[in-house]
Amino acid sequence: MALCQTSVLKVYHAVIEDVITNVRDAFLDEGVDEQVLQEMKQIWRNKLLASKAVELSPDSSDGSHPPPIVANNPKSNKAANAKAKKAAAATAVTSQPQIGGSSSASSLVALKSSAGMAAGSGMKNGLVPIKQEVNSQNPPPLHPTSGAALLQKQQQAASSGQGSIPIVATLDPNRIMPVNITLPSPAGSASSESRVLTIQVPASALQENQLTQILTAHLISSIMSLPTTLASSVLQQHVNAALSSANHQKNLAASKQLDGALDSSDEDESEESDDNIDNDDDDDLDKDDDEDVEHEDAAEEEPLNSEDDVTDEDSAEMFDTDNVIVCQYDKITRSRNKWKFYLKDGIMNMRGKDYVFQKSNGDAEW
Amino acid sequence: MSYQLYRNTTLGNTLQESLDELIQYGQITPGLAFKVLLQFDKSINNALNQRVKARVTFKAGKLNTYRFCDNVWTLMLNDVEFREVHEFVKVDKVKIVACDGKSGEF
Repeated sequence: MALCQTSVLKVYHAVIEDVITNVRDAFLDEGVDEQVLQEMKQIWRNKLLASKAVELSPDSSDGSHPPPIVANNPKSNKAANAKAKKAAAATAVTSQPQIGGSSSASSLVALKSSAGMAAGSGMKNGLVPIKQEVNSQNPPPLHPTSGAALLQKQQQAASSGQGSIPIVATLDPNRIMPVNITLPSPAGSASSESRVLTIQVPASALQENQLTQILTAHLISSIMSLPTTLASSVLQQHVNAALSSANHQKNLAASKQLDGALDSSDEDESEESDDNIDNDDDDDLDKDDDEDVEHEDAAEEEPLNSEDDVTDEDSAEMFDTDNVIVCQYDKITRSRNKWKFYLKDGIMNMRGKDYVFQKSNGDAEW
Repeated sequence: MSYQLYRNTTLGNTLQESLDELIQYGQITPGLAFKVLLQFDKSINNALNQRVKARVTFKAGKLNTYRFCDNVWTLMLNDVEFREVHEFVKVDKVKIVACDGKSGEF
């Protein structure tokens, strides 16, 4: 294999020279300095030599090009840095849509999602019983029916919950916990006193932050005008119904999603929100729950996904080898199971070394 | 017509890496890099056609897989012995990607 290996370097250098010569005009047209062209040539040569695919013939190791590794290191470091930066930028970009997504949504929804998260963190920090209070510095809103009223309460609940000890997380999920909900005074009412409702919910609902999804602004505003006891019982019923439907929905969703853990289709969200709540502002609140559901799915549906991967790997593996010939064919013939190959203009890379050939004939049986 | 398949060789890959670096440093535009690659296609097709004289024969123990799609052959050969006069190289697996040599002439 002497000829087809020793001629490699000559051919490669001829190609490099040819390319450099023929792109010079293009560089000039774009106003790119000749120095960049020379740099390109040098980088290319250094990379080629560093690849070790080319046998260094004696005449090529003169002083005209520096030792590949020394010359290559700063470049590759730079390249690595650039890649790292690129990766960082990519991460930044990928994380942006979440921010952008919420900010591009209507301000109410954006506020709501942050409030929901804040409330969630408050609950996880163990606010038991949860006390949603209207801060005296924030007078009861003029329109208690607006979502903002609830938002404020949730935010305050969250902030007041920050310092408390994590109790909820350690509780028995089936234990029933009392939850106090403080309502601002009804819109038409003369009294400015707020009322406190108490409902009973399982600790699991607190842990999984379901309450924030159930207690929607719509719901709160609908019970606002009711007497306190009636409001409590309506709320209790609604919470019970929503919790059982949420559990049912969860099971349904877990068995339903077959298209992989990372797929968050709109269907799921809309169905969830339709079922849980009759308020269409709640998509963002639902997201927490959706993610939980998806995580469960990931565990349950893993066999399907991994099976899909295996088929991909199979075909990739079949055509995966370090020894590759890139060439053109004059003729490939078959007689029964005997094949003959008439190849030309080939570049072979075998065991990390490059070879070139003008013609290569071979045969094989299938 | 010049085939682009030689971009996927040591020489082609190192060129593409070099161009990527220059693009990242902002020294050339992707458009200019594209022109360089097109020139590479011409140059490598030309050089293989004009400058290479080596002839190699090979014998494969087995044609494992073959695929013919869009006039491109992809072959997986097992236990292949390449021979040039008295020297030879033996590999247990080789992939051949071959474009139509007739339409590739220019």
